[in-house]
Amino acid sequence: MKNIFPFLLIIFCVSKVICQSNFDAGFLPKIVLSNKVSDKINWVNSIESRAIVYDDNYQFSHNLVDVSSILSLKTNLNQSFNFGYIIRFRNEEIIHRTFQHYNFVYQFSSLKIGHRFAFEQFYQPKKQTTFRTRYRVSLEKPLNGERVDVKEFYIKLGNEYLYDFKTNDLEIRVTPNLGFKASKRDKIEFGLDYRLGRFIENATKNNLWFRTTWYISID
Amino acid sequence: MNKFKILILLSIFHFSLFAQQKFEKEYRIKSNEVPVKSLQVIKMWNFKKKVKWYAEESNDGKTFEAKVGYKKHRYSIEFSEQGEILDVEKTVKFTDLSKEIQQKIKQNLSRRFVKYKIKKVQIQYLGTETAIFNEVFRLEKLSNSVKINFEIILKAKKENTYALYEILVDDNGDVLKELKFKQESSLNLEF
Repeated sequence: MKNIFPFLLIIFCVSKVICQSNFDAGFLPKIVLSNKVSDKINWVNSIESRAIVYDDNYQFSHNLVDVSSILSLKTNLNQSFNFGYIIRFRNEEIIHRTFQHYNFVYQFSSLKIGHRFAFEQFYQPKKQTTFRTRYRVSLEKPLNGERVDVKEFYIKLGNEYLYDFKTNDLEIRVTPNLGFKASKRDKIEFGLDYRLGRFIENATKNNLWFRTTWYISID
Repeated sequence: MNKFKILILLSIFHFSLFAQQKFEKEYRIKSNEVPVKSLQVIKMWNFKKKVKWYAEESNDGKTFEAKVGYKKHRYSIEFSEQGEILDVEKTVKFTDLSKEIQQKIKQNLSRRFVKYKIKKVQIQYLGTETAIFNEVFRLEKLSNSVKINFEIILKAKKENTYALYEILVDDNGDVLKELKFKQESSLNLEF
């Protein structure tokens, strides 16, 4: 259990920083379902909802829903190209997004490191198409032993940088998670998603989301 | 046969398949949870660095493993449930092996695979505690009582697809075992 301590410390520190400035907070539940189409192709679908609990003052409102569909092509044992589409329903507006990901994952004796490079295009009626690029590094470490077995916990730390070409600004995300491998086919993760927006402009915007993600693989 | 009977038969078939699935679990344990005999061996061998203990459970039974760093190499010492030594594995670079054995292994791998890339090499020592200790840690070869094999993890291509393989090679370079294994899903690191 002592291995959980650093994770709790991170959550505590991040929470402490956020509580001292203006920020939005809420919940981000997500389900990711992966279907194996062939040895090299996976079809990944996800649904994510966003509920706000704090926006200058405490409130509870449903903010948006993202539905995505991604075709993942395995180009090597540890590399893949993903081509996807997300439709976002936010109040009355609908935002369409297409994206391309390039992933590679390294496995060390007990540590797994995943890199993701992404390019995204946003489309909205009567608005100009906008573009964003992003890079994310994620680390996964089992809390017991050298690999994550069924019914075991692990920690996952993520750090992502997003650059918006329209606003010429940077957003930084830090995502500490506690994961549990419930079966050979599914993992569930609980954690935080701290987003520091408008980094270059210096008009810093803070968001703190409590994340729950359920990953299901169907082979 | 009516549909109901077919359904029952299919369910039984499904459960029998499920029962044959390989069960494997590895976890960290404290030194007071390992067999006394294995702890005595490790204490006697007196490593300067910290020894980490792991238990591994599978359909074949339970084993205990002590992992330690010694003179810039990682060692894994495996014991049975009764504390008897099963083997010692030393992680090395492929180029650390003798030129002769490197050549033989390469020849054999080229015959089996279209392309391959070696990811990890471990020298496996099998024998009695004393013989292994003398040969591995005191570098004294007193007799031929220690059997040496090489356990190699590689990424290799057979026909059109790449996969990960674990190969066990003897000291003549002959392949004793070939095991294909699946890469763990990284869904949660990609999406």
